[in-house]
Amino acid sequence: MIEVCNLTKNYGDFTAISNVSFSVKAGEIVGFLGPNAAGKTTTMRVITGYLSPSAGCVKVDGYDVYEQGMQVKKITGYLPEKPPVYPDLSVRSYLKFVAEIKGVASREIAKNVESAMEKTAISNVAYKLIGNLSKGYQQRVGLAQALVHNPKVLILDEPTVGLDPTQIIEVRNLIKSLKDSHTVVLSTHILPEVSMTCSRVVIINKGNIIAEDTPANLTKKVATDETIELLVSGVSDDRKLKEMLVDISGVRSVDISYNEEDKTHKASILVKSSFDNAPAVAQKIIAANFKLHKMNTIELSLEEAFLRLVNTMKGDERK
Amino acid sequence: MRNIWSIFKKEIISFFSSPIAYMLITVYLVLAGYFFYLGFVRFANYVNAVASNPQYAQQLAQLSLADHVLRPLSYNICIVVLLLIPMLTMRLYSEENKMGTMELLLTSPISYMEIVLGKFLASLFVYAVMMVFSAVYLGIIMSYGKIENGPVITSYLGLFLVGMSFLSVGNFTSTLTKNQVVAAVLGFGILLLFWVLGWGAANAEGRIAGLLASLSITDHFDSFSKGVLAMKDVMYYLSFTFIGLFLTKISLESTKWRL
Repeated sequence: MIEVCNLTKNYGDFTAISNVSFSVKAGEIVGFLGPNAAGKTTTMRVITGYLSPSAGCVKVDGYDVYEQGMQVKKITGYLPEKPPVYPDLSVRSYLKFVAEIKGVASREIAKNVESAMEKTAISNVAYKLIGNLSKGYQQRVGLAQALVHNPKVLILDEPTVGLDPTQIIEVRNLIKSLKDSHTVVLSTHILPEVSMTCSRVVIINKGNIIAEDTPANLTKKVATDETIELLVSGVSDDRKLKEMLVDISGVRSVDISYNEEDKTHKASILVKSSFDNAPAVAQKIIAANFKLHKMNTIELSLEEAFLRLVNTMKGDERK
Repeated sequence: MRNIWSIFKKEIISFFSSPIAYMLITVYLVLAGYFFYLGFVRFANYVNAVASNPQYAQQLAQLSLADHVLRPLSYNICIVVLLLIPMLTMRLYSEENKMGTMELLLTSPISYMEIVLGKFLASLFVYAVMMVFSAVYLGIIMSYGKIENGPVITSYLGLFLVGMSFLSVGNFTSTLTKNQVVAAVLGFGILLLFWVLGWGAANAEGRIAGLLASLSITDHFDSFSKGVLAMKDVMYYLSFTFIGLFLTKISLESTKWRL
């Protein structure tokens, strides 16, 4: 549905994105993940035809954004970072205006406006001036605006910014419900959002794509290490516990901390993700007459995976 | 066509839901009313002075409302709107740039020309409302004396054309910035320059003098206030408007490349 090849955009000397290529299939929800100023917004602005690329091409539903911009704009809904709303219009008249300029047929405008307001749960403020609405409501009006012409492709730049936790969950559910009937590209710097809503993640940093995969695969790929956490009491000597654990094959390092209040030791054991010697760890603890309260494996979160990817790239740059 | 209408409607709502349009119309009516009062009273005194002296009986017959009231009035109105129009147009594009709504317009399937025309026509509509209100003065003139139709029609036509030119400059400067004040000041600058351009003709020689005189935006208004409809003056204002709107469109297109 969306085809981006070798896209480059320069602002004077500054390269916002360089040689970015990826594609999005129809019905997919793709998350665009990256720290601030990574080039997410620039990429989205080029896809929607707001900016012209310095090099490379973008095709949406087979139409070239540069050559056949009008066709692309008709089938694309776009929510920019800041919701593009007019404070002196009411919600309904604003959505009506957007439906008109998006080319919705006159007799379908009222119906489309109603359904967009219903989907984004703003029917109760239909006659209020947008300027008097809270940030969360304005954001939802922005989302309604992107949906009002029932576009095939939705480009959402940080759609959950400014919403409260309940609203965030609502918006995420809404985006998930759009799957199949729409193709969605959303950008965010909030990681749980990606793992919850997206079927695929594109990680971008400093204008380059550094990874592209499903959230689960991405975590697996980067997760070469795992941490096993133990909660133990009755330990007389810290060092003895540590030596004991380090001796187990496959253990890379051990970190021990003592909690004064409940007199327990917490041991964090760093192991390879292929580690299967957990029973040996438990056996040793029990054999030494320590009391084992808790033992669990902590998998690398997407957040850590992301940080690692970004850091690896920084390391490469230094070399 | 439908898109122009949509943009037009939206702008009209914006104009009349903010205090700007009301404020400008009020200021305009107060100033124009004061000029009208001055002109009318002066004319009345003059007529009285002439009438009391039988020697000037022949001159009395030549005194006309069109020449002595309407003509200075329309010229003064021309200067008043020169000062007011940049304030009318300043927010048209700069506000969209600032609020980020330009991103909505430029990612919608409408052409630059439709945006430019929709906004220009909306500002022209507000200006036309201003002009219609000033017909009150005309009504007062007519109820106290006779005035030829010719100069009235050409004066209004002239003011309409002058307004179009001023508006096109205001539309253009508004596209250049996110800041309304910058847009207004720049608009003033350009319009004032075109107003005083003709003054330089007195010191210049030959062709340059002719060029300066023919570029001056207010000199072309003379013929209209006299009741003459000169093609070259109509063409001047139409081309001026066209160039202004053309620059507006180019400036809008260039947002794709700048930032």
